[in-house]
Amino acid sequence: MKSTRARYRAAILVAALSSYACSTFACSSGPPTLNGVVPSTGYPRQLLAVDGTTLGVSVVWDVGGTEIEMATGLFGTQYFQIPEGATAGDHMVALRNANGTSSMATVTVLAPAPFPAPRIEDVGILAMGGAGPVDVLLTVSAANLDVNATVTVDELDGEQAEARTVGPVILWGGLPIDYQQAHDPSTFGYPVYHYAQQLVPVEGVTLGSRLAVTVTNAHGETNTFVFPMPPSLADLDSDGDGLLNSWEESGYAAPSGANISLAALGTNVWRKDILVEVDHSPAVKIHDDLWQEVELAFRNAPVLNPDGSAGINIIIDRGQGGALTGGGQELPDHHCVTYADPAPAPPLGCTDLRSFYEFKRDYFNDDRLRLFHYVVWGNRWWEDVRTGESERWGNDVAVTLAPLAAGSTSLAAQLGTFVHELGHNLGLTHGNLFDNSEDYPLKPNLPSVMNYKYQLKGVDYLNCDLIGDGLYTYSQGTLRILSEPFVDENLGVCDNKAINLDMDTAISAGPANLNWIGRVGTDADMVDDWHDYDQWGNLRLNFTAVGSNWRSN
Amino acid sequence: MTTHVHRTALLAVVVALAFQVACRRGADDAQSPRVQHKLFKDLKAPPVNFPRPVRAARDTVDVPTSLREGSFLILRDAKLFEGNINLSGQATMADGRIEFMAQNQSPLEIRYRLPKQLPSPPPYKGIAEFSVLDASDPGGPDRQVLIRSGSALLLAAVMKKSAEPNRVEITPGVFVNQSTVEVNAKVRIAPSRIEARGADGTVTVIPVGELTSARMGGVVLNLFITASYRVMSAEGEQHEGGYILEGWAVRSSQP
Repeated sequence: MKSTRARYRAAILVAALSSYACSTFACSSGPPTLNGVVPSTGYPRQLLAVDGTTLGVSVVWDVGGTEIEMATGLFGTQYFQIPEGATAGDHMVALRNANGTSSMATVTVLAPAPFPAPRIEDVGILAMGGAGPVDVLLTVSAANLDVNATVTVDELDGEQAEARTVGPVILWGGLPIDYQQAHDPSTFGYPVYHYAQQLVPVEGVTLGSRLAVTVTNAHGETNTFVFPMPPSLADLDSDGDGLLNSWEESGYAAPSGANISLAALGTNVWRKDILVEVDHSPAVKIHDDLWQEVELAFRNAPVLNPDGSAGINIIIDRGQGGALTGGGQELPDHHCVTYADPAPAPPLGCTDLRSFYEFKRDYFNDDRLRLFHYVVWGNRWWEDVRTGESERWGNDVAVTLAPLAAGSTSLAAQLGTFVHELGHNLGLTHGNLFDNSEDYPLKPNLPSVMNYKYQLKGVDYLNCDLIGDGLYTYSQGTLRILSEPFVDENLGVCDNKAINLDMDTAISAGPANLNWIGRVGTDADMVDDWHDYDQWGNLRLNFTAVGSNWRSN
Repeated sequence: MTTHVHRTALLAVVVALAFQVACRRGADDAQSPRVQHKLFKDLKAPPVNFPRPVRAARDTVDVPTSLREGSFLILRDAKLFEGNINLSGQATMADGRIEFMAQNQSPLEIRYRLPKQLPSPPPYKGIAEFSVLDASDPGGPDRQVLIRSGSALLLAAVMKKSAEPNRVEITPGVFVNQSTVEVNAKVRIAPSRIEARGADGTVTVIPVGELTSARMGGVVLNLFITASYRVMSAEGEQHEGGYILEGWAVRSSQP
C-alpha cells in the first residue's frame, strides 16, 4: 500500500516537474499542431508539406477511417506523399505524436495522373569524415523522387571501383510544386510534382573518384547521376556553387594578400550562392525594383540545397553598402561596348566604342576574379543591335538595351535581359543547356527567359497559350517533345490548347516549321525534334571549373 | 540517514525522468529513433519548404523625358505603345512631335529626335496614314514606323536586323534596299550598299552617314542611313549575325 502511494506521489512529481521543465525549456509535451497541408490539393504520390509541428510527428492519412500513418524525415515528418491508392476526393489528415493527435486538415486528391521516373537534379555533400577513403554524407535531390526511394552508390574510378556501402537513407529536404494541379499532366512530357532530397551516408569513398549515384522509386524507375568527389578535403565545395567551403568559412585569400570574408558578403556553405557586381553607363536608368525582382527570381528557384532549403542566393553588389561597395559605379560615358581588348575603331553605326575589359580593369577589383560575375550595363553592343552578350559558362556579362529605345527602362526588359544574360554565364544557351544542339532562340516548347520569345515578357505559365505571363525564370524541362514532321497544332504544347505553332493561317496537323522562318538565328526546315530542357537542374555555377570559358579575367 | 539518501536519489531520478519526458521531442537532437548513423549526429532539422509563390513582376515603364539622337517613342494614353498598328486619321506634325487621331481610337503621340545631319521636316496638319510594324526580339530589332499622306511620305524610321538583305517599302512603289555582301571569319563586318528605288525605276544610292535628297512619291525626301552592314558572329558568341539597317526618311521642305 505504501509502495503504491509512493509510486503515485512519484508520478505526480514527474508530471509537475515535466510541466515545469517544459515551460522553462520551451519544449512541448502536448499533441502536435497542424495549421495546414501545403498544397492542399494534389495527385497520388505528390509530395505535400506540413505547416505545423513537425519534430517527432507522423502524418495520419484518413483520420478516423482506415488510417495510414507516415513518418518520413530524420527529425519528424515535414513532408509526405499522398498515398498512391488514395481515391479522388477529400481526405482528412492529422499529425500524431506520443501525446496525441492534432486537429485535422483536408487534402483534396485529384484523379491519378502519369508519374514519371525520378530525375536527379543535384548531389551535395553535407558532411565528410576520415582522411583516406572518407565517409561522406551526400544529399541527393531529384524531381519526382519517392520519399522511400532507395539509393545505391558505385565508385567508378581507381582500385576501389565497386559498389560502396550505403547507410540508412532518409528524406531530408523537399519542395512541393503546385503547378500541375491547374493543368493536365498527361499533356506534359515530364510533369514535375515535387522535388525531394535524400540523405545518403556512404562509407569508404575515394577522394577524387567519380560516384554513380542511382535512385530507384517505389515502382523500380531509376535515374543515375555521376558525381565527382573533390580531390581533397581542401577542395570541398558542399553546395557546388564554385565557392569552396574553406572560402565560405574562413574567407578567400585573394591574390593581393587580402582576405575577403564571404560570410560578410552573405554566402552560406550549405546554400548555393551567386556573386555578381554591376556597374553601369551614365545613360542607363536601372529600375528601382530590378534587384529585388532578380533576387526573388533566384530565391524561388526549384533547387534544393544541402541544408534542405530551397532556392539560390544571388548577391548583387550594386554599391548598396556594408561589404558590397564595389559595384554601382558609373562608367565613363560611351556609345558602344565590345569584348575586344583594346577596342578597335568604332564600326558602322557606332560611335565611341569602349572595351568591356577596359572598364573591368578600372572598375572591378581583381581580388574578386574567382568569385564574382561582372556586369557592364552599357548602351549598345558594338556589332549589331542585340540586347546583351555574355560568356557562356563564364563570368562576364554585357547588358545593352539601347535597341529597345524607351523600352529599355521597363522593369520587364531589364529583369528578363539580366536573368537571360546571367543564364549564359551559368552555362545556358537560347534553346538548350550548355550543348550547342537545339541552340535556337524561338522554340515554342522551352518556357525560359533564355528563349527570345519570353525574354522580355516572362514565360507562359498560366494557360499554354505561348504568351508571356511575366514570370522570369528558366525552364524545368516539363514540356513534351515537338517533332516537326508530326505536328498537331490542335494539341498545342500543353493542356491540348490549340496553337498556331507554325504561324501560318490555320490550325492544322502535319509537318511544320516550329523555329520560325525569317528570323535571324532560326532554322527553316521541317525535320527537327525540339525538346524542353531542365535548365534549373543543370546550371553551372562554378565558372572557374575545367572546361568553362573563364579566361582568368 | 539512509531514508534521506534514498529520497534524494529518488528525487534525482524523478527529475531526470521528468526532463526526459518533457523534452523528448522538442529539441534539435530529437532524430528519428528508426534511423541512426554516425554522420547524422551533428545535424539540425532542415527548414520546411512550401511551394514557391508564382508572382508576375510588374511591368512598369518610366517614359523618358529626353530622347537619344536618332530615336523615337510612341505613346498611347501616356504609356509606351508596343505592337503593330495601321490607321488612317488626322496628323499634326511639328517640333519633333506628331499627334495622331483616328476614329474610335485613343490619340497617339510620336516623339522623335532625328540624327543631327537630317533637317527637320516642315510642319504638317491633315489626313495621314500611320503604320507601325514591330517584330523585334532580343536578338535584334525589326521595327518600322511610317507616316504618309497619300503617296507622299512624311516620316519613316527603320531599324531592322535580318538574315537576308533588308528591303523596305517606305511609300507605295518606293523601296529602300540593301545589297548582298559577303562576310567571313576574317572580315566579319562589311558595309552593305544601299539604294532607294522609285516607282518610276529611278535609283538613288544612299551613302551611309551622308544626307541624301531625292524626289520620290511626288515629294522631295531627305534620306539618312546611320547603319547598313552585314555582321557575322564571332566564335562563341550567343547571337547570330545578319544584315543591319538603321535609317530615316523625312519629307523635305523643298516643293
